[in-house]
Amino acid sequence: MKKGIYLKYLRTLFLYIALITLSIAFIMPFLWMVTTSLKSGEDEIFSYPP
Amino acid sequence: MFPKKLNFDNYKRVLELFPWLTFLKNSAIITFLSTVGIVFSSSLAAFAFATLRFKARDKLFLLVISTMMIPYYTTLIPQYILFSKIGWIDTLKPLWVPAFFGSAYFIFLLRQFFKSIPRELFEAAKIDGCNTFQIFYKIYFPLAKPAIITVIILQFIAAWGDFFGPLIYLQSEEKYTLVLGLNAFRGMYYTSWHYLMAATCMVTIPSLIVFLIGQKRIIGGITITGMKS
Repeated sequence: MKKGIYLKYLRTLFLYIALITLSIAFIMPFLWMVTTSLKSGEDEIFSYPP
Repeated sequence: MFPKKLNFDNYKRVLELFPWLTFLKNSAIITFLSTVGIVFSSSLAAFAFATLRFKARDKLFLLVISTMMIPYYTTLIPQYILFSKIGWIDTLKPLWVPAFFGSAYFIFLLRQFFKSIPRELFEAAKIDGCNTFQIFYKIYFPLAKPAIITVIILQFIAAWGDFFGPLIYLQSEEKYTLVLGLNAFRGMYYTSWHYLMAATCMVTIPSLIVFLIGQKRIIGGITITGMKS
């Protein structure tokens, strides 16, 4: 019984990790757009390391 | 990744550089008229396919649906030639008039919804003396509100964010839409990324608001129309 609940939680945890990882691919360009719009100029936009 | 200091001057500068009002007016005209056109034409066609009985109805519906498989880019050149022959190049018309001739995707979406409405309502209205058009706008159209709202939201987002259509058909700057106007920040040798991104953020706001307001409706509307056949 306890093992079943444990597995259920584990499955949910993995699902969330997978969803968060996938969502990064969609959020990153949007985040880049917003942060770049608040930067001062080319030097700050193309600075390395970012 | 994150700025050292938040520089909101980019937004102020963009507002000075960009002829916002002209572009906004053009975007609003195209978005509004194409949304009205899509709702009007697609709902009428969907109603006919869902409720009326006529010869070769299903074959005709299949034909309409099959147009979804033709990529937009393959019909682009003939469409351009057609519009240039009737003198519509460099006007807003090619961007909203076709919406009044329906969209296969929305016809399908609305047909599925109309099919879920009990046929008894159609027959009861007919007995009460309604003609076919009255049945449509007095009974079916109000009942299909969730699906209609989904269509409005999807079309708004598509028309507002369209870059390719305006790029092909519009030439003079006073006809540009907001999204096409963003291109002005891109130069041949130099791009002002901070201004371009500030302008993009501002242009995205209406779509974002519409999406956030209608988020539940979009998902709900598509789920409803997908579930019932």
